[in-house]
Amino acid sequence: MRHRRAALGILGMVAVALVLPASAASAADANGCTVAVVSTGADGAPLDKATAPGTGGTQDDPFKIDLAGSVAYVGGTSAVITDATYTVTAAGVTIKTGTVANSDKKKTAKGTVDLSTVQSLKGLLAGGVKIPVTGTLTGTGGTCTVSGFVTGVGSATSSPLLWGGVGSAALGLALALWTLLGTKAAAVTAAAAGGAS
Amino acid sequence: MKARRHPVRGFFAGLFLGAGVAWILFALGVVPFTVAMLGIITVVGIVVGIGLAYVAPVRGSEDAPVATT
Repeated sequence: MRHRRAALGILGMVAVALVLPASAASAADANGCTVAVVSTGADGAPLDKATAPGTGGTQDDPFKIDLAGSVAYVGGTSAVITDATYTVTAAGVTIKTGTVANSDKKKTAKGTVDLSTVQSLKGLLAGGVKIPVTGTLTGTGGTCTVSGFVTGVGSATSSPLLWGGVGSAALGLALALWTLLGTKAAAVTAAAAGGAS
Repeated sequence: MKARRHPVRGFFAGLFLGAGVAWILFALGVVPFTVAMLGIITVVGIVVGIGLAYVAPVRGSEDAPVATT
């Protein structure tokens, strides 16, 4: 009975973990600003586009980028923001921070980011991996926050994450089998002399 | 007689299985890749692994009975 309750508790935790992603933010969003982005591949050919708020960059339709390519952006803030700091997070981890003086008091900006300089996502962005990305600009005059999802190019089988996961899961299954097969009845004296391993 | 269980083995089984399942789910795009989600799935795996060690059915005795005369 006690074991059954423990098993039900474990199943409950698994269910909670699987339901959590469904309740997470699932759409590209922007507050205090608008952004339009176009990605290009390593060969310079257009790859994908998205706008926030707007279409693309959602969990169901993540913005596709090639880490050997680039992303061109056009953005505007609702108010003039000066002496600002910006933060970019990916997968919940800060990957870039900096400051923007904006002494010209501009409300729009455009440019191109060479993704080969963003090495923190290398090895992760392949196949169907969807990574939530958030950008925040905070300074005198206001705050701008943009969030969405990005994915990489290539098939799932090209992802080192997949094969690392398969290897780790196989090792885990082997250890689980060893745990199951190693559960044996032992004399009380032997158990007292031994201990858990 | 007492069951000899292996919670430490169960811990590592759950750790590797949980992390592996998480990476597979991320690679296939089933769940978004976040560090928090990696932690949650791995911790669930560890709990399952340790739980498995405690609920695993007891197999035959590992100590042969000592014959007495």
